[in-house]
Amino acid sequence: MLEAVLARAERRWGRSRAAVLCAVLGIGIRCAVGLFPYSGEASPPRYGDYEAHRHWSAVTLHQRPPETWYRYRVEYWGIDYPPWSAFHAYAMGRLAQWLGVADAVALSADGYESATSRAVFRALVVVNDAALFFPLSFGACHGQLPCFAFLTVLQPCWVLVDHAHFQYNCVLLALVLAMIATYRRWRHTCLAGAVLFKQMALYYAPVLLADDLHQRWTERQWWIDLGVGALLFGGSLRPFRPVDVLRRVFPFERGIYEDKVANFWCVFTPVLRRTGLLRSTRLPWLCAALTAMAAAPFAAAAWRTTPSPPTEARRQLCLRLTGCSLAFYLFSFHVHEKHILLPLLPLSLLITEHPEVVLWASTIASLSLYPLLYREGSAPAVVALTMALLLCAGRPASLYYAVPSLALCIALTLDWNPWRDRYPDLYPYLFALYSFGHLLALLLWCYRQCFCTAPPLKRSRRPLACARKASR
Amino acid sequence: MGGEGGAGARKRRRRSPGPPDHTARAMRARRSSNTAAPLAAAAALVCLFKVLLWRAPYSTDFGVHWHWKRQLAVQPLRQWYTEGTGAPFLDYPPWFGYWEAAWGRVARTLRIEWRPGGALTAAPAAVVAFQRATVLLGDSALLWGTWRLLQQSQFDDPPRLAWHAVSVWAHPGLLLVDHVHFQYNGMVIGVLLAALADWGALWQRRRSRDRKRPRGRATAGRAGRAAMLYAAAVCLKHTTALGVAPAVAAMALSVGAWRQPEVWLGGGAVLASALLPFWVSGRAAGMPARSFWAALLHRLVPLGERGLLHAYWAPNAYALLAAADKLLAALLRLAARRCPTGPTCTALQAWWMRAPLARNTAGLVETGGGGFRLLPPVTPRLSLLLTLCSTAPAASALLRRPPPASTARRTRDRLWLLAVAQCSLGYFLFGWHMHEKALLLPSILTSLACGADHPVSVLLNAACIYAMFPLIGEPSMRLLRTVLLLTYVLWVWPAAAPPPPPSSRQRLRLRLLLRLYVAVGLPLLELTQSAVPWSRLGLPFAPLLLTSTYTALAVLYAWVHLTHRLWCAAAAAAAIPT
Repeated sequence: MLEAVLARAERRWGRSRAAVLCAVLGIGIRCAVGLFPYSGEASPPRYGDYEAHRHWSAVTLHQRPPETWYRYRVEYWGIDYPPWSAFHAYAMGRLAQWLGVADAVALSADGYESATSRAVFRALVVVNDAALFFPLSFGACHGQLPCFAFLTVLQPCWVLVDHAHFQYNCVLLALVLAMIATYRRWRHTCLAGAVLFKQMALYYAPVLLADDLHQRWTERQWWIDLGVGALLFGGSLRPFRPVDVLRRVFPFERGIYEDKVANFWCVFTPVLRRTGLLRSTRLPWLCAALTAMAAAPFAAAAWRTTPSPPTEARRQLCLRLTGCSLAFYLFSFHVHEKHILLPLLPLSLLITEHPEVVLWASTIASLSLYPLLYREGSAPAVVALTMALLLCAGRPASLYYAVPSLALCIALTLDWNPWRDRYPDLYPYLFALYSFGHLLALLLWCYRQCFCTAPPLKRSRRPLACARKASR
Repeated sequence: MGGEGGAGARKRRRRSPGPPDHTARAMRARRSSNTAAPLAAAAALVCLFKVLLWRAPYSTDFGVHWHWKRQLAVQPLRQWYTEGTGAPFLDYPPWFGYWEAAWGRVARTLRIEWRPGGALTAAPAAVVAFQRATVLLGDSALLWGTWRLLQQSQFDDPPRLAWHAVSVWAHPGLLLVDHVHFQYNGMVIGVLLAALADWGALWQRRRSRDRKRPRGRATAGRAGRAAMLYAAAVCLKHTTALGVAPAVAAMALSVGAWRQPEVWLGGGAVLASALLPFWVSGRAAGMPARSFWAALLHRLVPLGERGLLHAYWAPNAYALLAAADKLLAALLRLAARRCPTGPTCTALQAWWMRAPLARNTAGLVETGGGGFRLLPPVTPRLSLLLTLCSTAPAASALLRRPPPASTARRTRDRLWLLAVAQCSLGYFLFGWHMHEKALLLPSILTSLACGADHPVSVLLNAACIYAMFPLIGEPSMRLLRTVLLLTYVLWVWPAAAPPPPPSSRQRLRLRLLLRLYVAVGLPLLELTQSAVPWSRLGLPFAPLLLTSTYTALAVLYAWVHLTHRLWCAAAAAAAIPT
């Protein structure tokens, strides 16, 4: 349905107006989702991610010299992202001051919550999204409306994490989109930016490393790109002591996973606990080994690529990035629920090529976020956005995974469900188990697409393909 | 919905097989089957967006409606309009009371409890979800009514029909008032639209069958249903439904529906179901009938308690008058202070001192009376007279010789919708104590009558949505309300058309006006609202005043335009030879 609507809108209004309408609609959805409670709303003494961001803004605004940022009150909400996040927090703090909530970003305002400051911080995330993520997704989609609408309006996951839970992943995602769009020329620069913003962009690094090893090292552009990336790294880390940053950014003492994340280690926790492996110091090494095994094929695919048309090259690249980051999500050390956004982003760019798989993965990903958002009181937003996604896609096949997912959500939500309170960990575990199964299947699908299939030559008769044809 | 319509069309075809009817109905059946699935999906999407607004900051109306739900579920009927409910008294007609009482019982069964304390104590999540869900369920009437009206109107192109439907279902004004501020306008408007669809169809049926088969069973049934639906709308919210009463009465006269017993039976049955239970319950308790009617009238038409203008000055003619009054008073005060000494000046100062204090500008307080400082006061009687005069063009257009059967269905349908829109606009412009929310119905009707992308409907709807902004003033809604307005304007903005022929200079001028008003004026106004420190200048209510006057100008313009258009359309229809 959506494709037909977009095609008609484009015919009638022209692409730019249709795209602007999509963008404005996306902004509206983000604002509406922002009405739901943020992470740690009205829950002293620790609060949640909202308080963390507020605190970072306060620290970066008022603490001098910058060298002390990574050592200031690390036991409360110390900065645990790389320097660009700190600079970004500073910029957001300045904007908040300019918008009249200077009290909220004072150093002594722990747990500051007011209607105005909430509105301002929520609006700042929306502004970041609209100013960075939206134009870059338009670029990364090569101006194709179905893809752009999917990224900005329909995909529920990053909307929920950024605007309900409260984070600034949109900046990271925008940098990754820039990396994908300019992969041949500026990938190191963009990846350096992304990693400097949030270290989890390193999930993509093996693919880039493999491409670097594979290619000829005589290209001038490649050296320039590498140099700019290195300069960015060096320049950004200069004000700080690298040891402080590294200690905060790679927190090995914080355990193998956070909450109930849908990865291998969480799902096999009962087994690991029985064998005593959970407390072992060998665990990080085991993680590294498993992750390397799972991700290596996607890196190795660099040597398999043959000269192909640009669309096929882009498809392969997105698949490899998806698979590699998904391997990290499933097997690496200290994974959050929100890290699912990393595999989801390159996969979402393939909406026109593999609509079924992308829809399936998006539904499962939003399901894996459900326990977190349910705890914060944003459950209606998750269900509404996911159902809207499935409705727009209008594919009956989606019932196979949508119905069990919805059943799980409802079971957790119902108040008279006696199991919910008797076994508080049961439902999050069930969610993790269910999502893990699907995500493992997605990983296998990525392997298959990368290695076992020829490029899809015949044009599929799906409406998305028709829409693409019509829009040309 | 669509399947039902298709089946109905098929049945009718069997009954009266005629060549022109056949093609038209077959086309309609095809149209409804083509549009049903995407329309259902669009309706579901709109509902899902409304779910996203569940946690939006609600107004005191939320507590008031919850209070009614709790109280009406347990109070006997005779006390509903007397002292039964306690402080915020029920000022809606009985059917709305039934609706609230039914939901109150459901809430009691589900054991959802909340005792609203102060003005804006936070309600528990279960209560919020329950209340928002009732609004969402009530909105199914909006879905149905819009569908009914669009199905038998002039939109042959299925995508265009769906586009129109979405522009009504997801009208940001409705979203803001119903799903954020908290009210049930969507439900009332939906029932009213369905009633208007039936009334319009009545005209067409009579015309198309002509005088050979004067009042078939179907026509009678249709007329009875139209009367019932309209009476139901009146019994749900009389302030909204009475706005189109002149047009409906004129239509009833025009098609001779007043001679049909079904109309009286249907309307009377609904009214009786609304009033009789109260009367019976009062009689059983020994309450004199007169005191009950007096109590009902006092609650439903509180002319003495409510002033000419609502708190935020809904953008109608009186807002313009009040603004002019303020301006004049300010000028006079300046003149009285600065004038050189002399007899003229003394007289001026004396006059200034004697001028009565205005009672309409107390900001948030609902004050009685319609007094201005310098202009003559407006009484309820004068307001009624003005309302009747302003809606007279619609009534007269319908009462003129109706368009003959040879005219296209589209022409007759458009004439009816134009008349209804003009009538409701006139009612809003000159009615007593109008709320901002009352502008929703005229705006929606205008967009249905002229097409949502006609410059006048875009102008009026943008003004209508902007007029709701003062109701939604919380910081967390500031960005969202602007984005909703922007989305709507982009959704309905006239598509880039080929260069207009030289004869359509009026249309060109309209477009220029639209551009100036919406694309330049509204952003500038919004900027001045936040950028100018009004409170520090001693003018805390200036933003409200600016909003009402600026939007009132658009409403006034739309009314003038619609009246002119209606006049031309009626004259053209009357000039067609039979």
